[in-house]
Amino acid sequence: MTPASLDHARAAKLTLAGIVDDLPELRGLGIAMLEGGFGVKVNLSCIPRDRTIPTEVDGVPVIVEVVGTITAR
Amino acid sequence: MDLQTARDLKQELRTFLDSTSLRPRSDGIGLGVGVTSRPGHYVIAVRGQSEEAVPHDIVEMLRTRTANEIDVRFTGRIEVRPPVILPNVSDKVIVPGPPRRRPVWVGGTRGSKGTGDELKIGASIGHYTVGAGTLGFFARRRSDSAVGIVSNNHVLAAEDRGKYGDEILHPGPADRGQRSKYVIATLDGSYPLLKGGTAGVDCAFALLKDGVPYDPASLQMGQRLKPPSSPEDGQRLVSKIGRTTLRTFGHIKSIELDRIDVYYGIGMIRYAGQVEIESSSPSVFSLSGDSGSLIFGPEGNALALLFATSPIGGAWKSGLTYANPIDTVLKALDVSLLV
Repeated sequence: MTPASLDHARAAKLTLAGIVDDLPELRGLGIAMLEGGFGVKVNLSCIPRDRTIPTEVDGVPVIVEVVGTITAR
Repeated sequence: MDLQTARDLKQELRTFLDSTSLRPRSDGIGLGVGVTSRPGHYVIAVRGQSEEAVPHDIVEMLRTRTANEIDVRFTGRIEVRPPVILPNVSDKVIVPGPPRRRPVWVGGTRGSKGTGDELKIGASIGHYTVGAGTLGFFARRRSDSAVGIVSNNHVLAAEDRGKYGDEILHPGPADRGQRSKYVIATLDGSYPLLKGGTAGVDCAFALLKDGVPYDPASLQMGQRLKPPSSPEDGQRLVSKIGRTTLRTFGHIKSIELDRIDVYYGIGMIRYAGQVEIESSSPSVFSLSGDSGSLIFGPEGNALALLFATSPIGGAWKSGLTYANPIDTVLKALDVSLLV
């Protein structure tokens, strides 16, 4: 999927927030920096058992990554 | 929690995990007493070789039973390495860990054999009650032009416990810094709080003591620090100099990252608007003790202040690093970067 402009990625991030905001596994929602543009980044503590994350929102690629528990270092 | 409480709780949790209702799913979970950067404060260490070995629902049960006082790590294959015996712990807690690379206080006024003898970016520092973190950068306070150093709140202000005038040591206490000899700065108590704070930053400023020699712009390898720039400018390649892993290289993976829950000794803090960094090599970008490191671009332009890591994620599965954007740090502390 083609990376989007920063403005499109920000709009897609807002849309995706409405979809994933209640996920207990959510550990971050941001703008992914991709080669040639931007996407939306979703960080999770683990893969949800009963929900799927879309692979794109309004034509903007969505990058999902499991990051575990984040601690201050 | 204190050491005895942690030991008792660990036994209780082991019994809980060994119950027939959880086995065999809990068989891959190891429990221990975890040390933290705060002296006398311990957590329950939860370890498994992989994410599959530590089911998420069981982790959440452990988190509830310990009021979030756990440290979950996925260790991969564990190899036997020389133990590190922590000083000042009466019953000799032994923590297996990676071999320590020396010196641990880079760019400092002590232990430095370079041409200069000045305090530099990347040096080991810490509040006198904290183990050790990293000197991020030098700054000038806007209100009175006083010069000081910037690092994390959890390095300079002991997670909101620091008061005006508290002593900052170089090297940090974990690197044998002593209050009697090695005070290089005093804490400015007006730092943004972690608990209940609204700034979304983990940072503090400490006033440099008169007579301490310093070089505010040295980044090693002949590089000099340059004024801040924004990750939005498309700058992806980054570097940092940390107390533990020294100079490492990576790239920005995401920006404007919201809903990040970061666990401290004082509990969980939720952040928004952060920067995420991935290592550019199989080596980790940062480890414990690198907190407070300045993230900068290939030209030396300041970008962000490192404060947290994840245990997994990233192209090399070695975890991701999280940092406060530099402009929010400078604004929250009302300081300007010294270059």
